[in-house]
Amino acid sequence: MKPCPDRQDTVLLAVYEELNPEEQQNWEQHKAACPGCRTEYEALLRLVGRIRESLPVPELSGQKTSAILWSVKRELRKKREKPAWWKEWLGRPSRLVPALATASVVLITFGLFGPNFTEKTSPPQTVTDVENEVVIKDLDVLTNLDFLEDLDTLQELLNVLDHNETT
Amino acid sequence: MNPQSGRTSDLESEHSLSGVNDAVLVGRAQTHDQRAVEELVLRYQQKAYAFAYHFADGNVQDAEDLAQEAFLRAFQNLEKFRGDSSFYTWFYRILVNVCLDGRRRRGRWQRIFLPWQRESTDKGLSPEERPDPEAHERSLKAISEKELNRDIQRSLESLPEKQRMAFQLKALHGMSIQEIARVMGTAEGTVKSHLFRATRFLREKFKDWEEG
Repeated sequence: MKPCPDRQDTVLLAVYEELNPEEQQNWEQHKAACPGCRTEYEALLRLVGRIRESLPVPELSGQKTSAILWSVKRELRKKREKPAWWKEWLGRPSRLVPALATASVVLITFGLFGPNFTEKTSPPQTVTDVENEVVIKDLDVLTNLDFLEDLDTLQELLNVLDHNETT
Repeated sequence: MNPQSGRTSDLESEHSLSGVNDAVLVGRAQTHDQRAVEELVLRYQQKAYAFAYHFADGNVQDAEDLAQEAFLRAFQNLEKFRGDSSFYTWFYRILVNVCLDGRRRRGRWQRIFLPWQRESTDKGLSPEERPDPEAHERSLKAISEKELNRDIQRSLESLPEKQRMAFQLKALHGMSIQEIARVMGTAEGTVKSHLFRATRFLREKFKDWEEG
Protein backbone atom coordinates (compact mmCIF):
# COMPACT_ATOMS: atom_id res chain seq x y z
CA MET A 1 0.00 0.00 0.00
CA LYS A 2 1.41 3.34 -1.06
CA PRO A 3 1.30 6.60 0.85
CA CYS A 4 -0.83 9.48 -0.40
CA PRO A 5 1.16 11.40 -3.04
CA ASP A 6 0.20 14.76 -1.52
CA ARG A 7 1.35 13.67 1.95
CA GLN A 8 4.88 12.53 1.14
CA ASP A 9 6.58 15.63 2.52
CA THR A 10 4.36 15.55 5.59
CA VAL A 11 5.40 11.96 6.28
CA LEU A 12 9.07 12.98 6.15
CA LEU A 13 8.51 16.03 8.32
CA ALA A 14 6.68 13.84 10.82
CA VAL A 15 9.59 11.37 10.89
CA TYR A 16 11.99 14.23 11.60
CA GLU A 17 9.60 15.81 14.14
CA GLU A 18 9.42 19.05 12.22
CA LEU A 19 5.66 19.53 12.11
CA ASN A 20 4.15 22.40 14.05
CA PRO A 21 1.43 21.51 16.60
CA GLU A 22 -1.43 22.12 14.18
CA GLU A 23 0.21 20.12 11.39
CA GLN A 24 1.03 17.41 13.88
CA GLN A 25 -2.60 17.14 14.91
CA ASN A 26 -3.76 16.93 11.29
CA TRP A 27 -1.12 14.34 10.60
CA GLU A 28 -2.12 12.20 13.54
CA GLN A 29 -5.72 12.18 12.31
CA HIS A 30 -4.64 11.31 8.78
CA LYS A 31 -2.24 8.62 9.96
CA ALA A 32 -4.97 6.94 11.95
CA ALA A 33 -7.19 6.81 8.86
CA CYS A 34 -4.61 6.04 6.14
CA PRO A 35 -2.75 2.71 6.31
CA GLY A 36 -0.49 3.63 3.34
CA CYS A 37 0.87 6.76 5.01
CA ARG A 38 1.13 4.97 8.36
CA THR A 39 3.14 2.12 6.86
CA GLU A 40 5.47 4.53 5.08
CA TYR A 41 5.95 6.59 8.25
CA GLU A 42 6.82 3.51 10.31
CA ALA A 43 9.18 2.21 7.63
CA LEU A 44 11.00 5.51 7.48
CA LEU A 45 11.29 5.66 11.26
CA ARG A 46 12.85 2.19 11.28
CA LEU A 47 15.21 3.11 8.47
CA VAL A 48 16.49 6.29 10.12
CA GLY A 49 16.85 4.42 13.41
CA ARG A 50 18.78 1.66 11.66
CA ILE A 51 21.08 4.17 10.00
CA ARG A 52 21.77 5.80 13.38
CA GLU A 53 22.60 2.41 14.85
CA SER A 54 24.90 1.50 12.02
CA LEU A 55 27.03 4.60 12.41
CA PRO A 56 28.18 4.67 16.00
CA VAL A 57 30.78 7.25 16.90
CA PRO A 58 33.65 6.18 19.13
CA GLU A 59 34.05 8.26 22.25
CA LEU A 60 37.04 10.55 22.33
CA SER A 61 39.51 9.24 24.84
CA GLY A 62 40.77 11.49 27.62
CA GLN A 63 44.15 11.54 25.94
CA LYS A 64 42.70 12.78 22.64
CA THR A 65 40.57 15.32 24.45
CA SER A 66 43.65 16.70 26.18
CA ALA A 67 45.61 16.71 22.94
CA ILE A 68 42.97 18.77 21.11
CA LEU A 69 42.59 21.14 24.03
CA TRP A 70 46.33 21.57 24.38
CA SER A 71 46.85 22.34 20.69
CA VAL A 72 43.97 24.85 20.67
CA LYS A 73 45.38 26.64 23.71
CA ARG A 74 48.90 26.61 22.28
CA GLU A 75 47.76 28.16 18.98
CA LEU A 76 45.74 30.80 20.78
CA ARG A 77 48.70 31.66 23.00
CA LYS A 78 50.93 31.94 19.93
CA LYS A 79 48.42 34.20 18.24
CA ARG A 80 48.09 36.41 21.31
CA GLU A 81 51.84 36.70 21.80
CA LYS A 82 52.51 37.46 18.17
CA PRO A 83 52.42 41.24 17.65
CA ALA A 84 50.74 42.90 14.68
CA TRP A 85 52.88 42.82 11.53
CA TRP A 86 53.48 46.56 11.52
CA LYS A 87 54.54 46.50 15.15
CA GLU A 88 56.91 43.72 14.32
CA TRP A 89 58.46 45.79 11.53
CA LEU A 90 58.73 48.93 13.61
CA GLY A 91 60.02 47.03 16.60
CA ARG A 92 62.93 45.69 14.60
CA PRO A 93 64.19 48.28 12.10
CA SER A 94 66.97 45.94 11.00
CA ARG A 95 64.24 43.96 9.20
CA LEU A 96 63.74 46.95 6.92
CA VAL A 97 67.37 46.89 5.66
CA PRO A 98 66.90 44.24 2.94
CA ALA A 99 63.71 45.89 1.72
CA LEU A 100 65.34 49.33 1.61
CA ALA A 101 68.43 47.96 -0.14
CA THR A 102 66.28 46.29 -2.77
CA ALA A 103 64.25 49.46 -3.29
CA SER A 104 67.48 51.47 -3.70
CA VAL A 105 68.85 49.04 -6.28
CA VAL A 106 65.59 49.19 -8.23
CA LEU A 107 65.53 52.99 -8.17
CA ILE A 108 69.17 53.28 -9.26
CA THR A 109 68.69 50.72 -12.02
CA PHE A 110 65.65 52.49 -13.40
CA GLY A 111 67.33 55.84 -13.01
CA LEU A 112 70.36 54.80 -15.05
CA PHE A 113 68.89 52.42 -17.58
CA GLY A 114 65.32 53.58 -17.80
CA PRO A 115 63.55 54.68 -21.00
CA ASN A 116 65.10 58.19 -20.91
CA PHE A 117 68.60 56.88 -20.41
CA THR A 118 69.99 58.12 -23.85
CA GLU A 119 68.51 61.58 -23.49
CA LYS A 120 69.81 61.97 -20.00
CA THR A 121 73.35 60.85 -20.94
CA SER A 122 73.75 63.24 -23.97
CA PRO A 123 76.29 66.10 -23.35
CA PRO A 124 74.88 69.20 -21.75
CA GLN A 125 74.20 72.18 -24.00
CA THR A 126 76.79 74.84 -23.15
CA VAL A 127 76.75 76.88 -26.43
CA THR A 128 75.16 80.28 -26.41
CA ASP A 129 72.49 81.56 -28.81
CA VAL A 130 75.09 83.54 -30.83
CA GLU A 131 77.25 80.50 -31.26
CA ASN A 132 74.17 78.62 -32.36
CA GLU A 133 73.50 81.22 -35.06
CA VAL A 134 77.08 81.00 -36.35
CA VAL A 135 76.86 77.26 -36.46
CA ILE A 136 73.55 77.49 -38.36
CA LYS A 137 75.04 80.03 -40.84
CA ASP A 138 78.10 77.83 -41.47
CA LEU A 139 75.81 74.92 -41.87
CA ASP A 140 73.99 76.80 -44.71
CA VAL A 141 77.28 77.40 -46.53
CA LEU A 142 78.32 73.82 -46.14
CA THR A 143 75.02 72.39 -47.37
CA ASN A 144 75.03 74.74 -50.42
CA LEU A 145 78.71 74.32 -51.24
CA ASP A 146 78.10 72.63 -54.60
CA PHE A 147 75.74 75.37 -55.64
CA LEU A 148 78.29 78.06 -54.67
CA GLU A 149 80.98 76.31 -56.70
CA ASP A 150 78.63 76.41 -59.70
CA LEU A 151 78.10 80.13 -59.11
CA ASP A 152 81.88 80.70 -59.20
CA THR A 153 82.08 78.87 -62.52
CA LEU A 154 79.29 81.00 -63.95
CA GLN A 155 80.97 84.14 -62.70
CA GLU A 156 84.20 83.17 -64.47
CA LEU A 157 82.26 82.43 -67.64
CA LEU A 158 80.63 85.84 -67.49
CA ASN A 159 84.02 87.46 -67.01
CA VAL A 160 85.34 85.72 -70.12
CA LEU A 161 82.33 86.85 -72.17
CA ASP A 162 82.65 90.43 -70.96
CA HIS A 163 86.30 90.41 -71.84
CA ASN A 164 85.57 89.19 -75.38
CA GLU A 165 82.94 91.85 -75.89
CA THR A 166 85.29 94.63 -74.89
CA THR A 167 87.98 93.37 -77.22
CA MET B 1 22.71 36.31 22.53
CA ASN B 2 24.95 39.18 23.34
CA PRO B 3 28.56 38.39 24.11
CA GLN B 4 28.90 41.73 25.84
CA SER B 5 26.60 40.51 28.57
CA GLY B 6 29.04 37.69 29.17
CA ARG B 7 31.78 40.15 29.97
CA THR B 8 29.77 42.12 32.43
CA SER B 9 27.85 39.43 34.17
CA ASP B 10 29.18 37.98 37.34
CA LEU B 11 29.80 34.29 37.11
CA GLU B 12 28.17 32.02 39.57
CA SER B 13 31.30 30.14 40.23
CA GLU B 14 34.92 30.62 39.35
CA HIS B 15 35.71 26.97 39.90
CA SER B 16 33.05 25.23 37.85
CA LEU B 17 32.02 26.56 34.46
CA SER B 18 29.96 23.56 33.47
CA GLY B 19 26.71 25.26 34.40
CA VAL B 20 27.57 28.55 32.72
CA ASN B 21 25.79 29.26 29.46
CA ASP B 22 27.57 29.64 26.13
CA ALA B 23 27.02 33.38 25.89
CA VAL B 24 28.87 34.02 29.12
CA LEU B 25 31.66 31.62 28.19
CA VAL B 26 32.08 33.21 24.77
CA GLY B 27 32.27 36.64 26.38
CA ARG B 28 35.00 35.44 28.68
CA ALA B 29 36.82 33.60 25.91
CA GLN B 30 36.84 36.83 23.89
CA THR B 31 38.84 38.39 26.70
CA HIS B 32 41.31 35.48 26.50
CA ASP B 33 40.00 33.61 29.51
CA GLN B 34 41.68 30.23 29.13
CA ARG B 35 39.21 28.43 31.36
CA ALA B 36 36.28 29.63 29.29
CA VAL B 37 38.03 28.45 26.12
CA GLU B 38 38.66 25.12 27.79
CA GLU B 39 35.04 24.73 28.84
CA LEU B 40 33.74 25.53 25.35
CA VAL B 41 36.13 23.03 23.79
CA LEU B 42 35.11 20.34 26.26
CA ARG B 43 31.44 21.12 25.76
CA TYR B 44 31.49 20.70 21.97
CA GLN B 45 34.44 18.44 21.42
CA GLN B 46 32.57 15.16 21.23
CA LYS B 47 29.84 16.59 18.98
CA ALA B 48 32.43 18.12 16.67
CA TYR B 49 34.35 14.87 16.60
CA ALA B 50 31.18 12.87 15.87
CA PHE B 51 30.24 15.10 12.95
CA ALA B 52 33.79 15.04 11.55
CA TYR B 53 33.91 11.27 12.04
CA HIS B 54 30.81 10.76 9.94
CA PHE B 55 32.02 13.21 7.35
CA ALA B 56 35.48 11.65 7.19
CA ASP B 57 33.88 8.27 6.42
CA GLY B 58 34.87 6.84 9.77
CA ASN B 59 38.53 7.81 9.65
CA VAL B 60 39.48 8.47 13.28
CA GLN B 61 42.66 10.42 12.57
CA ASP B 62 41.00 12.66 9.99
CA ALA B 63 38.08 13.24 12.33
CA GLU B 64 40.39 14.35 15.15
CA ASP B 65 42.30 16.65 12.83
CA LEU B 66 39.09 18.18 11.46
CA ALA B 67 37.63 18.76 14.91
CA GLN B 68 40.85 20.34 16.10
CA GLU B 69 41.06 22.60 13.06
CA ALA B 70 37.46 23.70 13.55
CA PHE B 71 38.18 24.71 17.15
CA LEU B 72 41.30 26.56 16.11
CA ARG B 73 39.46 28.50 13.42
CA ALA B 74 36.60 29.27 15.78
CA PHE B 75 38.76 30.61 18.58
CA GLN B 76 41.09 32.47 16.25
CA ASN B 77 38.05 34.29 14.88
CA LEU B 78 36.11 34.57 18.09
CA GLU B 79 36.36 38.37 18.11
CA LYS B 80 34.30 38.33 14.88
CA PHE B 81 31.45 36.49 16.60
CA ARG B 82 28.76 39.07 17.23
CA GLY B 83 26.15 36.83 18.80
CA ASP B 84 23.65 36.99 15.92
CA SER B 85 23.24 33.25 16.32
CA SER B 86 24.13 30.85 19.10
CA PHE B 87 27.76 29.87 19.53
CA TYR B 88 26.70 26.30 18.81
CA THR B 89 25.31 27.21 15.36
CA TRP B 90 28.24 29.50 14.57
CA PHE B 91 30.74 26.85 15.54
CA TYR B 92 28.94 24.17 13.53
CA ARG B 93 29.09 26.38 10.49
CA ILE B 94 32.85 26.59 10.87
CA LEU B 95 33.01 22.84 11.43
CA VAL B 96 30.99 22.16 8.29
CA ASN B 97 33.29 24.39 6.25
CA VAL B 98 36.38 22.73 7.70
CA CYS B 99 34.95 19.30 6.85
CA LEU B 100 34.07 20.36 3.33
CA ASP B 101 37.53 21.87 2.82
CA GLY B 102 39.11 18.70 4.15
CA ARG B 103 37.00 16.56 1.88
CA ARG B 104 37.89 18.66 -1.17
CA ARG B 105 41.57 18.54 -0.25
CA ARG B 106 41.40 14.77 0.06
CA GLY B 107 39.52 14.62 -3.23
CA ARG B 108 42.17 16.69 -5.01
CA TRP B 109 44.93 14.59 -3.54
CA GLN B 110 43.23 11.39 -4.63
CA ARG B 111 42.53 12.74 -8.11
CA ILE B 112 46.18 13.64 -8.56
CA PHE B 113 47.94 10.71 -6.94
CA LEU B 114 45.44 7.90 -6.68
CA PRO B 115 43.37 7.85 -9.85
CA TRP B 116 42.79 4.13 -9.55
CA GLN B 117 41.11 4.66 -6.18
CA ARG B 118 38.83 7.28 -7.65
CA GLU B 119 37.68 4.86 -10.28
CA SER B 120 36.72 2.35 -7.67
CA THR B 121 34.88 4.81 -5.39
CA ASP B 122 33.39 7.56 -7.55
CA LYS B 123 31.99 5.53 -10.40
CA GLY B 124 31.71 8.74 -12.37
CA LEU B 125 29.21 10.43 -10.06
CA SER B 126 29.17 14.19 -10.22
CA PRO B 127 28.87 15.71 -6.74
CA GLU B 128 25.52 17.43 -7.20
CA GLU B 129 23.82 14.72 -9.15
CA ARG B 130 21.23 12.68 -7.43
CA PRO B 131 22.56 9.17 -7.28
CA ASP B 132 20.60 6.56 -9.06
CA PRO B 133 19.31 3.96 -6.59
CA GLU B 134 19.25 1.40 -9.37
CA ALA B 135 23.01 1.65 -9.76
CA HIS B 136 23.55 0.56 -6.16
CA GLU B 137 20.70 -1.83 -5.98
CA ARG B 138 21.35 -5.33 -4.78
CA SER B 139 19.56 -7.79 -2.70
CA LEU B 140 19.93 -6.99 0.98
CA LYS B 141 18.00 -9.98 2.14
CA ALA B 142 21.01 -12.24 2.28
CA ILE B 143 23.62 -9.94 3.69
CA SER B 144 24.65 -9.86 7.29
CA GLU B 145 24.26 -6.98 9.71
CA LYS B 146 27.89 -6.06 9.27
CA GLU B 147 27.52 -5.89 5.54
CA LEU B 148 24.39 -3.84 5.97
CA ASN B 149 26.30 -1.34 8.11
CA ARG B 150 28.97 -1.08 5.46
CA ASP B 151 26.32 -0.64 2.80
CA ILE B 152 24.68 2.15 4.76
CA GLN B 153 28.05 3.86 5.14
CA ARG B 154 28.74 3.53 1.43
CA SER B 155 25.29 4.82 0.53
CA LEU B 156 25.81 7.88 2.68
CA GLU B 157 29.19 8.45 1.08
CA SER B 158 27.60 8.28 -2.36
CA LEU B 159 25.13 11.06 -1.54
CA PRO B 160 25.84 14.49 -2.97
CA GLU B 161 27.65 16.69 -0.48
CA LYS B 162 24.76 18.93 0.56
CA GLN B 163 22.23 16.12 0.79
CA ARG B 164 24.62 14.18 2.93
CA MET B 165 25.31 17.18 5.14
CA ALA B 166 21.61 17.89 5.67
CA PHE B 167 20.87 14.24 6.39
CA GLN B 168 23.75 13.84 8.84
CA LEU B 169 22.92 17.00 10.73
CA LYS B 170 19.28 16.00 11.00
CA ALA B 171 19.27 12.25 11.40
CA LEU B 172 22.55 11.72 13.21
CA HIS B 173 23.01 14.96 15.13
CA GLY B 174 19.40 15.86 15.82
CA MET B 175 19.54 19.45 14.61
CA SER B 176 16.37 21.24 13.59
CA ILE B 177 15.87 22.26 9.97
CA GLN B 178 16.13 25.89 11.05
CA GLU B 179 19.51 25.26 12.69
CA ILE B 180 20.76 23.30 9.68
CA ALA B 181 19.78 26.18 7.41
CA ARG B 182 21.88 28.54 9.54
CA VAL B 183 24.79 26.15 9.65
CA MET B 184 24.73 25.54 5.91
CA GLY B 185 24.01 29.19 5.14
CA THR B 186 20.99 28.39 3.04
CA ALA B 187 17.18 28.64 3.08
CA GLU B 188 15.07 26.24 5.11
CA GLY B 189 13.27 25.15 1.94
CA THR B 190 16.58 24.18 0.38
CA VAL B 191 17.52 22.17 3.47
CA LYS B 192 14.19 20.37 3.31
CA SER B 193 14.77 19.61 -0.35
CA HIS B 194 18.25 18.14 0.36
CA LEU B 195 16.96 16.20 3.34
CA PHE B 196 13.97 14.75 1.51
CA ARG B 197 16.03 13.72 -1.50
CA ALA B 198 18.61 12.02 0.69
CA THR B 199 15.94 10.21 2.71
CA ARG B 200 14.05 9.07 -0.38
CA PHE B 201 17.26 7.81 -1.95
CA LEU B 202 18.10 5.81 1.18
CA ARG B 203 14.51 4.57 1.42
CA GLU B 204 14.68 3.30 -2.14
CA LYS B 205 18.11 1.83 -1.61
CA PHE B 206 17.12 -0.12 1.48
CA LYS B 207 13.64 -1.09 0.41
CA ASP B 208 14.66 -4.73 0.23
CA TRP B 209 16.03 -4.65 3.75
CA GLU B 210 12.81 -3.08 5.03
CA GLU B 211 10.63 -5.57 3.21
CA GLY B 212 12.85 -8.50 4.10
